[in-house]
Amino acid sequence: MLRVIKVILCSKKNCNPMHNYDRVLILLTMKEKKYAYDGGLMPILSYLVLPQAGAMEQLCTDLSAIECCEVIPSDNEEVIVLVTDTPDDNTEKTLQKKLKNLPSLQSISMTFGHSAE
Amino acid sequence: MKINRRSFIKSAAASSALAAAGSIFPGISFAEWKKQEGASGKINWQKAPCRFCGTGCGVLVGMSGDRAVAVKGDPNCSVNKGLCCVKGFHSVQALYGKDRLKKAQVRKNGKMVEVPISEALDVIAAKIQETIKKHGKDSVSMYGSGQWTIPDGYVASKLFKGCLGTNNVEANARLCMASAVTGFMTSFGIDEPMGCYEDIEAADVMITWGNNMAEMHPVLFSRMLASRKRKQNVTIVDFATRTTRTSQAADKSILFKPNTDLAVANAICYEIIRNDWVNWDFVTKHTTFHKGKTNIGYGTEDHFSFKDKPEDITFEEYKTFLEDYTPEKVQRISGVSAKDIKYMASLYGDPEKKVTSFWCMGMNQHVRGTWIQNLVYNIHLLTGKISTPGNSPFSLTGQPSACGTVREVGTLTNRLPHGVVMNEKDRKMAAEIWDVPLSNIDPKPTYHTVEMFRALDRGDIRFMWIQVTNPMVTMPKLKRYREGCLKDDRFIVVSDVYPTPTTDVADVILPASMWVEQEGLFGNSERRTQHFDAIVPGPGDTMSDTWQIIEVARRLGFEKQFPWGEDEYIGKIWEEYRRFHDSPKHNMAPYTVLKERSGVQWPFVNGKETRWRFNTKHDPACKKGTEFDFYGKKDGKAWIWARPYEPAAESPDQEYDFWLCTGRVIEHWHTGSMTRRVPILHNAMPESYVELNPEDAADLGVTNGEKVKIISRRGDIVMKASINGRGVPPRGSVFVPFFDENYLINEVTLDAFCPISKQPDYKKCAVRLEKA
Ligand code: SF4
Repeated sequence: MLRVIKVILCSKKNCNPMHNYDRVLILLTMKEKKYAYDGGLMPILSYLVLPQAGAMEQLCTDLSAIECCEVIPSDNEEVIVLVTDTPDDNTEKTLQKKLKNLPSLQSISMTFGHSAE
Repeated sequence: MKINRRSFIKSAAASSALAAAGSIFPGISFAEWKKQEGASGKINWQKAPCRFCGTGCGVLVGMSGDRAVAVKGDPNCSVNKGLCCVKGFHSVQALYGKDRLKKAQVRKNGKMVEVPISEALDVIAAKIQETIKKHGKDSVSMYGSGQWTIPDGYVASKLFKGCLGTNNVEANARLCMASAVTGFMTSFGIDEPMGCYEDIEAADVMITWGNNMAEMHPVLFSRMLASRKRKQNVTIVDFATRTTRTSQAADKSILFKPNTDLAVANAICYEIIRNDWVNWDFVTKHTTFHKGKTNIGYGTEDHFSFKDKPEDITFEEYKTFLEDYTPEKVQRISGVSAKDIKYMASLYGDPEKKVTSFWCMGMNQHVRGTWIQNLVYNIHLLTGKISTPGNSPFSLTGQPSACGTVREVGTLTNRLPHGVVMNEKDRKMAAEIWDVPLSNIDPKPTYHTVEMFRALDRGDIRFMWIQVTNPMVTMPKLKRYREGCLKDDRFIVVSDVYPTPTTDVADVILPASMWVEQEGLFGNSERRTQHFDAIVPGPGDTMSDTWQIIEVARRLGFEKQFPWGEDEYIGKIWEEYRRFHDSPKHNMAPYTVLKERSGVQWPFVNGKETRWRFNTKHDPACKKGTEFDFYGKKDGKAWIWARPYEPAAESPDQEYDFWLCTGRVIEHWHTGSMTRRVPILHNAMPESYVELNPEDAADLGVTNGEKVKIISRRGDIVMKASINGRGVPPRGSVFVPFFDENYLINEVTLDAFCPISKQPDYKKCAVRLEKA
């Protein structure tokens, strides 16, 4: 059974999830995001990722260096599509942590989610 | 297989992000992206409108064999352009809840017993006959829904109004959009919005009136935000009674005291006139001025009746009326500063700015619901900001087919598929199309929803068939109506997909097909009719609501009126229904066109959809030689109404010192009977809560998650406090979502309604709080 989720999360710790709302689609807060992942196995997720000003190339490099990430950069806007495919919950959690801590990343918005049962 | 499936899912995940990026950043290019089409062989995508809200997003349902396994936004649907919200993405999971109703049940010796569905249908037909024989035709009733498909509502109306001869047909849309209808009828003489969702991209200013669009119409809200990002000069103002996600994302959030939106709207008009921002050319050519009765009551007593008496007034009289609404005076009533009132007026008044106003339940569920719609129309009419791209007073709808089924088919006591029962011409048209004697159609409306449930409680109604709705959660002042249903000699039939508090009071339960398990049509907020095929087999004995009604009608001897076969009935019903709207003002697209496209807007004339009504450039029904033609009114003019501020039916006092407002959350659809069975949605929002202002919480000594008792004159409820959660009410008010049947907040609410629309006000009653 597919589980498809579409949520917003923000890269900044403890931030108001609305602070970059104008770049995002549909919101769930960080707490709700956690619920959404609970119990999910082998999640595949996709995101729109926006770099910090002038950090597009750096962000592409940073993301490509992380395991389980597929990076599709736009060639005419500072926007990256990121698809992640993790084998289990723990890897997913580690990946989330890495993403959150990338200095080149400004915001990340989920657009699709699935976790196999 | 596993590799294929995963690479397909990755491909779908990437496509979804690309579609979203394309919608937010038009012209964005991803040259490196190569589509992995080959991997998707096992999934077959089919179009449908989303099952849930009135936005009417087009979705593609992914089928693996005969099981629906995924959803994505339909890029061909202009409503959502490939986007979806969290409910839409999970909608297919709602088909597969463990406790799906699969078998009919009939109460035998006090116990519900599973029976073959044909036996249950026999019981229903026999009970209708017996009840009519004993108590007369007006003792049987049908209570439907804005989630009925168009054919569901059409056959219900044909059976009850045309064949059985009773106007006892109502729908839950009375609780959600009746004030929108009476607002349109009184201001324009014809129902439904003049604009369309393209107004979002065309507007420079968007003002939400008591409307948390970020959660209730999330895809439209994301279009607003995307437009603001793209155009840079777009302003969003949230005018509301509590701070929500919409307020947080808006450029400005203005809070007003409950019911005083009436006074603020008048003050905006006062300012528009005082500053001479009136579009005189438009006003002189296309409007007239009127007033109606005042002190019109609240309908809390049985048999309440009210009829307005419109009178013509001059512009000067209207101007004098507005003198009571200077920004300074209104500041005292509404709590909105004179500066903010003037700011809003300046946005509407600026001739260089295109302004769209959005509203939904905040203005509809309002004891002066009709009036507040009139007053917001006044603002747009005085400035001539109407019926042109980006200039739109836009009444949004909550349910997926409140417009398509309830408003267009007319499944309300006074309505017919075209016109009203009181009008002989309309009755003649219905009698002819339905092939019933004219005398069958009663010229007198019977009961609106609240009064229908009161009649059931009193015993004037003895039989009620409820389809696709859950009134034992949603009726205001619920206790009275639940007890009414449970009285001896009342017979309740409920057609639904899951057990609910409403099936708990049923004597017969019919297992219904859900959404894409049947063929059907919905109609969304922007006059868009959306067809969907039966793409998933329904479980057990489930049967479409339309077919249930047809089966009962035939058992009652109306084979002639319901002659269609099971493989063709939706198309045949649509083409019969379309005859009611055969005019340039309301022509509907043919069945074959609807089957092909992801929704078609009416009026559909000469193969073309109408985007902006009443505008001669866009609307073929307008008289030639004039820029605008408000053809709903006999003189072709729109009405500007002098309507005063009047307070709510019940306001806080010393004993009950808080306002209670109820509403929805993004994760759950209405009473949660479907979305609470979707694990992700349920886990994200597992139970209802009461939002408190942090200072009120401190006064009460309550911290986040602690229990609070909410007490009104009708009942009480204990639930957890949410402090500084996603919504924050101002001091002196609380907010409770109604999705959770474990917390029946409607036992606390009041059944006061707008005397014109008869729509209850779920947004205002008085309560007191105790730490529990
Ligand atoms: S916004 Fe409404 S119609 Fe669109 S996906 Fe969400 S619930 Fe469905």
